[in-house]
Amino acid sequence: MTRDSLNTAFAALADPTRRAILARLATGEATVNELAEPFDMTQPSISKHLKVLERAGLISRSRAAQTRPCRLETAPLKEVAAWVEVYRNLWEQSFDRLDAFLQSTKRAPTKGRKYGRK
Amino acid sequence: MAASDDRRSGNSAFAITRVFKAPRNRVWKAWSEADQLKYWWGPKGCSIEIPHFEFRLGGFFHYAMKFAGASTMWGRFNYREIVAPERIVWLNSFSNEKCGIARAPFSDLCPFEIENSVTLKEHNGSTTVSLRAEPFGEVAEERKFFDELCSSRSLEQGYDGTFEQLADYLAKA
Repeated sequence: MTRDSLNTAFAALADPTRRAILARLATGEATVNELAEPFDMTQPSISKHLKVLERAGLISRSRAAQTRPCRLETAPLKEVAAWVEVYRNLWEQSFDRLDAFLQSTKRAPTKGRKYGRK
Repeated sequence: MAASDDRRSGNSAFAITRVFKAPRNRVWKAWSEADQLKYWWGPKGCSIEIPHFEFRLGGFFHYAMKFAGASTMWGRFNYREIVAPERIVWLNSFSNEKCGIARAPFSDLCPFEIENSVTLKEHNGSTTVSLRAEPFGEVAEERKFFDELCSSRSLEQGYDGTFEQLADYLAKA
């Protein structure tokens, strides 16, 4: 995924209906009619939203069946969320180091030789 | 080992809580002085150099992260709230060597800026440090939606129920 496609995906997610559609599709494939029902929207306006999501690569639509059911595409979601793990690791490692640092300076209260200055 | 992590997420991208066996004033010092930060901030195995440090509202902590055999990465904190000795809020981002904001060197998809907030609470001589982090900026809401959808760890903890089925689905996909 590139920055451009990421921006396309974010733009697609800016709409609450489209976010709700994605959450619904997470429970399994659905046809346009099935998607339209809980949202109290007409089929054409749901179709419009689906086109935006499809263009953003967040869903795909089967060509096999006539009803063309929609499914969630998980790869872009996972790729974009990867930063969370990277950042969490950074903090976990920093906290480990902070713990060691606090313990070592506790043993040497006069500013600490090992950690005192450069 | 004294430390224990709490992975509960709340509605931020993630949160970590850990208890340190040291009084709060001691821990606060470790967060608020350059000469202390440089010994613990950053991933395992990195050494930190600090060309600029200004611990005040709007001030910057500008640092170089150096790793053996790898190129230097620059980063910065921009402080937005400081309440001694209990709370700090700041924006964290990568930067260039002049403290100008920069994209993550390893990925185009990382948020440009991440808002961190940390609170320190003392109990019986130990300090509980709670940190929350979330993307900051104009697409932060959309970004959070992605993160929540995919944050399987928080989903395991029953993230409001909203995304539970989605987590199951992603796990199988």
